[in-house]
Amino acid sequence: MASSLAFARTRSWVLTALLGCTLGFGAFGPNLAQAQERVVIPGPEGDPSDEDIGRARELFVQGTEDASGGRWADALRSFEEAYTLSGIGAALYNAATTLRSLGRYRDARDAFDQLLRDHPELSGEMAESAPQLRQEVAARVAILELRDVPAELNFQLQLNGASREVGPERPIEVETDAGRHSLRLEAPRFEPFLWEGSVRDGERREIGVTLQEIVEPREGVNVRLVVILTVVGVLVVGAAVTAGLLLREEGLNPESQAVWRL
Amino acid sequence: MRAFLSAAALMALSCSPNAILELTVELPPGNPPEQAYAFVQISNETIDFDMFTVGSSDRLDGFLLTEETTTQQISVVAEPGDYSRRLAVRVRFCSDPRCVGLGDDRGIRERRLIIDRAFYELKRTNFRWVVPEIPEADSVPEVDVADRCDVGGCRDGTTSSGFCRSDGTHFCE
Repeated sequence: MASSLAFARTRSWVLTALLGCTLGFGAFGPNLAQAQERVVIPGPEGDPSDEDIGRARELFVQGTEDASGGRWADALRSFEEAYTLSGIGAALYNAATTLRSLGRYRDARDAFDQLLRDHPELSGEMAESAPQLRQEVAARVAILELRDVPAELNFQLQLNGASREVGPERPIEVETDAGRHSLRLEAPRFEPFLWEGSVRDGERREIGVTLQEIVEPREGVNVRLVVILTVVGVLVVGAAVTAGLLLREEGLNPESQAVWRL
Repeated sequence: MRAFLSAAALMALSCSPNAILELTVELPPGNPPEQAYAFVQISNETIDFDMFTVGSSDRLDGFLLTEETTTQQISVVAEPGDYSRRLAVRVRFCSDPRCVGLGDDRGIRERRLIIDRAFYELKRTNFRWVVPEIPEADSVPEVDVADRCDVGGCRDGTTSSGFCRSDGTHFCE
């Protein structure tokens, strides 16, 4: 509800901004000098055309209507595209508040950071509320704190299947939103470390990472002994399978190649 | 000898009575030239779809979508303790066969199915799930619900009132 009110209050201001955005646009565009900061929603690459501005205006109005109706995913798409076309801070502001409404607090915080960083021209209610909203959503970002990962270890980290860049600091902090997550850490010579679990808004969850080294075969192994053991093993398993087939109660066999065993 | 007996016991256990649902999933066309996969996951431990996760333990690669509607069959094998549990199925549309591609955790496109009861001991049942289109990104997933009488099996031909007798019991019971 708070977000809806924010949209409603800012709507006239924003429309005015969009209508007048062709004037002095260069000063309003994103500051590319700070590109090392996370850009949640990219702005236009150059000065937007009149056509782009017109389209952005339509998208903005559509997004505002969707947000008022609680259709946050649709609203977000419209605001993102409006910002990418126009680079107007109001579109980014509304995208950030929509991300907040969707519970994507990490993205929302970074979008507010992007807004405050790249749009010093913001004024009025948006300039006042953006830092407050940024602070609010930042407090709701959950953190997975990975302990016991050696500083010198070369590894790759995935959260929910997507790669995450990690700095040299220890313990490793992985930001995310509330919900259930899967985390995978892979390093050469070690078995992959997997973690699955849920976190709440703003929770800091400590995860002890235990890495199991893959044991390489030792040199000088008696080849003859290995061959004998392998042959014996095959014979034992073969006999067991035969016995099992004779002893078993009949079950059904899957008809398709794709089999899912519960 | 101990290894032999253990292996024989395991073999015998692995072939104990079971039940199979032949689940046919009708998938919508993809959006060439972008590659898209339909990643199917199944569980009878929970019908809370938020408990599904993607990751390295996934057992079935996603099905590559084509320009046409495609049909895929999955044999879902249940053990005796699983028969009476509800079955939750979800299909997620991703750029990667295991839904772990870059960006696959954003703009989720998903459809869900709950089957009231799908398994009967030593019986082969079947159900056809039609997913008419790839859902909009980040839309609230639609949940299809199949009653036990919608699950086919144990009777040939077609029936006008599902696969249950007049007293409500399934033909496989």
